[in-house]
Amino acid sequence: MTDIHKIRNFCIVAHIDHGKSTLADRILELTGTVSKRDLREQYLDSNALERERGITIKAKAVAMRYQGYELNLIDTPGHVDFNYEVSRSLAACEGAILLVDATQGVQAQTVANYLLALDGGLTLLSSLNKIDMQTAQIEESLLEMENSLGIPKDEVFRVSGKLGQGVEELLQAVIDKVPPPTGAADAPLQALVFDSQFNEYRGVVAYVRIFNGRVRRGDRIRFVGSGTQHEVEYVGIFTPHMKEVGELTAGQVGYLMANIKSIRDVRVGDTVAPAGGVSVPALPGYKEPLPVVFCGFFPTGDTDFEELKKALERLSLNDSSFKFQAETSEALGFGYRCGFLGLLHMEIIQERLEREEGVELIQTAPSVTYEIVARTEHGRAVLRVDNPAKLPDDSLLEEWREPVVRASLIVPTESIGAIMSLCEGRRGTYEKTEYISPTRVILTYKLPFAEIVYDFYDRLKSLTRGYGTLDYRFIGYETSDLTRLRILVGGQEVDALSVIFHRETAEQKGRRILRVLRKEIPRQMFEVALQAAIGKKVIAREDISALAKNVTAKCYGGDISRKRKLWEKQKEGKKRMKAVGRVEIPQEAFMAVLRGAEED
Amino acid sequence: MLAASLFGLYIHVPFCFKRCPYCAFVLIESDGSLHERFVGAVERQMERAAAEFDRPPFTSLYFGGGTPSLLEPAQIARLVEAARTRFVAQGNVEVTLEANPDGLGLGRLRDFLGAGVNRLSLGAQSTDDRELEFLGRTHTGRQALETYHAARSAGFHNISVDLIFGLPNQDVEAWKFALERWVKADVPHLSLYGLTVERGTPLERRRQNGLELPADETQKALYETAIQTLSRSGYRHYEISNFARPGFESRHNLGYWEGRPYLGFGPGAHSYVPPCRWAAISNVPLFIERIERGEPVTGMEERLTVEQRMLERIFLGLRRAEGVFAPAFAEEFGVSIEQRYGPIVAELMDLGLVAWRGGFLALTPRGKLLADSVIGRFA
Ligand SMILES: Nc1nc2c(ncn2[C@@H]2O[C@H](COP(=O)(O)OP(=O)(O)OP(=O)(O)O)[C@@H](O)[C@H]2O)c(=O)[nH]1
Ligand code: SF4
Ligand SMILES: [Mg+2]
Repeated sequence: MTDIHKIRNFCIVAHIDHGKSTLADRILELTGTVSKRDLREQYLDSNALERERGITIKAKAVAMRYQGYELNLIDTPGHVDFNYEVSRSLAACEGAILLVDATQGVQAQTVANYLLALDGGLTLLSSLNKIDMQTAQIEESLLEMENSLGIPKDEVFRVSGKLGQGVEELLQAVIDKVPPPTGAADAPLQALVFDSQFNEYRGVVAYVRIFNGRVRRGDRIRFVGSGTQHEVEYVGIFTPHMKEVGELTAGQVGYLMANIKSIRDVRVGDTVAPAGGVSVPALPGYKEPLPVVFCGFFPTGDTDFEELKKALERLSLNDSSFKFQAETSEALGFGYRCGFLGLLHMEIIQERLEREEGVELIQTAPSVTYEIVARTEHGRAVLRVDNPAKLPDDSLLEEWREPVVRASLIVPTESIGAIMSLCEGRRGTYEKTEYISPTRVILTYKLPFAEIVYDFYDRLKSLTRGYGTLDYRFIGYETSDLTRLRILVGGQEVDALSVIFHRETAEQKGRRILRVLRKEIPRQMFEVALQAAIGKKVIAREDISALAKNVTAKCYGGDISRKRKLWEKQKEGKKRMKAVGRVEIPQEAFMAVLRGAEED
Repeated sequence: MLAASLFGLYIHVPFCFKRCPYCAFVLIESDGSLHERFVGAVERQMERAAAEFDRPPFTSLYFGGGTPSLLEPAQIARLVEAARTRFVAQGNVEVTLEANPDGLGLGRLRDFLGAGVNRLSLGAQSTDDRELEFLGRTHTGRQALETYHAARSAGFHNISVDLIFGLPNQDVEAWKFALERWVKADVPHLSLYGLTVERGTPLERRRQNGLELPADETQKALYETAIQTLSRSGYRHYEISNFARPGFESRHNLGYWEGRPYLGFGPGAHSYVPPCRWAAISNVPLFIERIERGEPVTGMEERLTVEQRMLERIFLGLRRAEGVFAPAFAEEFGVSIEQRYGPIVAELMDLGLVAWRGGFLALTPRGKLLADSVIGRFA
C-alpha cells in the first residue's frame, strides 16, 4: 500500500501549444519512467492523429516514482474543443502546473484554465515555459501574468520543457507545495471516474482517482450515478502503459476494468462505491459536455448506411462526447446527424471515419443548435433544431433563438480596431476591454455562436498576424431575427444545402454561396441553374453552362487501357459526389456553403 | 481463338529526330546508332511471339512511332518480311508506315513502297508555319504538302494525313482554309486531333506558366467546322477523330475499335489477346538489351474483367459512327446493353446524347462533342 502522504497528484494545463506535453517528456525522463532511448518527443501524444497534428486530443495519466514519492501526472489538451478534458483532470488532482509560453504570453485558454484550476481549489504552480527561445519575452510575460491572473512575479518558475532547464526545481515544488491527497484507505471505496477508454479485448477501461478506501481484483463495485454493479477484473496504473497492480488505495490514480462492454455504461464523472447498500456520497461530478456543432454524414461510393452506422458505433466506443442519430435527407438519402464539441472535433471524427474505418462519406456544412417557437397541431411549441433541413415550414415559425457565447479575445493593441470591426460584423455586442500589458488586451464580446463556429478563428488569426486567441463560454439562448436560406440545383431543392442566417445578411450570403457553388460544381452535360431562395422568393441565381466539348483525340492500341483506367479513376472520384436529380454535386460543395457565405 | 481472329501486328519504332514539346510517346531522340539493333530485336521478338501463339494469321501491319520513316527502307523491308514469315499473311495485307515530311523525297518514298508499305500516314499536323513552329515541328507547311504530292507520284494511293487543331489563337476561318487545302489535294483519309496537354511535357509546363489554349467553346467550333467541311466533301466521319473517303478507312485502327486481338512489338507496344492486355517496357536501350539477352520484356500486364471488357466495348463502339452493335454485345457478354446499362442509356437518350439506330447504340452529333463525359457514365 502506498503511503498517502507520499502521493502527489497534479496535472499540466495551458493554452494550446504552450508546451505541456514537452514538459511531460522531461518529467518522464527525470523520474526515469521512460528511458531516454525510448523517449520520443511528446511521448504521451500516443495516438496517430495526435502525432500527425502535433496536438494533444485526449488527457493522459501517468504514475511515476521519484525520491520515494508516487507522482501522478495528467497531461491535458489545450484546444478549446477538448476543454472538458481539463475539468475532468483537475477533479482528480490536488495541484496543477500552469504553463505560459514566454514567446506568446498569456493567452485565452491560459486565463480559462487558470480560472478552472482556482475554482477547483487546486494548488497552482505557475511557470513560464520556453525560456530558451530567442524570442522569449520574459518580463512582458511575467507582467501579463501579474496583471491578468494576479500571480506575483517571484512565484513564477522559469523553465524550458525542451532543454530541461528548471524542471527539477519545478518537480521539487510539486512535492513540497502540492498537498498530499486526503482520504482513508480503510474507509469504504469512493472513487471518481475521470475518463474512460475502450479496449477491444477487455472492454471499458475506467480511469479512476481513489478518494477513499481501496479496490482490487474480485471486488464487487457499484457506479453510484448509474446504479450498475460489476465485478472488478483488473486494476492498475499507467506507466504510461497499463500495468496491473494488486490494488489501488486512497489517493492513487489508476484504472479499473470490470468487463463492461459499452463506454456508455460508464459515465465519466460518476462515483465508484462498493456494491450493495453501503451508502457512499457521490463525488462532485461534472456535466457531460454537450455537442455544440452538428453536421450530417451520408454514405457514398462503396459505403452503405449499415457500414457507416457500424463505423460510427465503433468510434463512439472511445469517444462518448460525439453523438449521432439517423437522419434522412431528400437529397442525400439515409445518413447520420452527428454532434461535436467543436469544429476540430468534427474534423477529427471525419478523418478517423475515413482513415481508420475506411468509409466514404459526404459531409454537410456544420450548424449550431437553434431554438424555435413554432405553431404545431397542439399549439405553440419550442423546438430544438440542429439541422436546417429539418425546420418546419417557414409559415409556422414564430420566433427564433440562437446560442450566444461570451468570448474573450486576447489581441495586440494595434489590432483592436480590426478585431472590433470583425466582431461587429459578426453581430457581436461589446462588453469590455482589459489591458493585461501595455501592448495586449482582453476584449470581451457577446457573440452568436453561429458566427464564430466556422471561420472566425482563422480571421482572428490573420487579423492579428497569428497573435490573437479566443476562448468562449455559452451563456444561453437569445431571440434573433433569423431565416432559412434554401438552395435549389437544377430547380430541385437540395435540403442538405440549406443554411440558417440572420435576415439582414441572408440575401448577400445567398449570392455569395451561389458564386462558390458555381465553382465547386463541375460543368455537366447540360446547363444547371443554381438558385437561392428565402421563403418562396428566389433571391439569387447563377447558371452553370453545359460542357461544350469533352472528347480526347486518339484511341489506338496503346491508348485503350490508358483511357479505360482514366474513366475507372474518374468513377472513383465520383464516389465523393452525390447525384441530385442528374446533377453531380461534389463533397466540397456541401462544405463550401459556409465558406461561400463568409468570403468577400 | 487467336488464330481465327488476330488482325493486326503493330511495330513501335521509338525514334524521332527531335521530341515535339507536346509529345508523350515512347521514344528517344535518335542519331540512328540504335536502329540496326532495334530492327534485330523486333525480329527476335516476333520469332518468340510466333512460337508462343502458333503463327496466327494477320490482315494488317502497322509501323507507328516515333518516326518509322527514320528507318531505312531496307530495314522496313526486313521487318515486313519477318512478319510475313513468322505469321500468316491473310489476303491483301494493309501495311501502314507513319512518316514525317522531313527528308522524305520521291526516291525514298519509292523505296518504302518497294519495301512492301502500301499505306502512308503522314504527320503533317498543320500547313501554317507559325503553328508548326509552336508545335516544335521541324518541317514547313510547304514541305508537308510537297511530301504528300511526292507520295502520290511515288505510287501511294492510300494516304492519311494527321492534323492538329485547338492551337493558341487558332480561328475557325484559318482551320477551314487548312482543311480545304487537303480536300483539294484529294487526300483520302484525315485524322484530326485536338491538341491535348499530356503530363510531364514541355507544353504542360508552358500552360502552367500562363500559355492560353482555346476555350471549350472554340474547340467545339473548330471540331464542328471540320465535321461540316469534310462531310460536305464526301468524307465519312467514321470515328471520333477520323475521316475517310469510302473504302479508305484504316483497316488497322478498325481492328482496335472492334476489340479484336493484336500483337505489338517494340518498346512500349501493347498487345491484346482477350482477356489479357500487356505492354513491353518503354526504356528503349533496355528493351533492346533484354531482347538480345533473351530476357522477357513485358512491363505492364493486366487481365481484363468482364466488366472492363464491356466498358471497352462500349467506349470503342461509341467512338465509331455506327456505334455499338447490341446483338453482338449481348452474344459476347451474355447480357444485353439494356440489362447492363439500362438507366444510363435512358438518361443519355433523354439528354439527346445517344440514340438507337437499327440495333446500334450510337452517339448523336452533340454526344460526339461530349464523348468522354458520355462514356464516363458507363464506367
Ligand atoms: N524551444 C522550445 N520549444 C518548446 C518548448 N516546449 C515546447 N516546445 C515546442 O512547442 C511546440 C508545442 O509543444 P507541445 O508540448 O506539443 O505543446 P502542448 O501544450 O502539449 O500542445 P497541446 O497539447 O496541443 O495543447 C512543440 O513544437 C515543442 O517542441 C521549450 O521549452 N522550448
Ligand atoms: S514526331 Fe511525332 S512521335 Fe516524334 S516527337 Fe513529334 S509528335 Fe512525337
Ligand atoms: Mg500536448
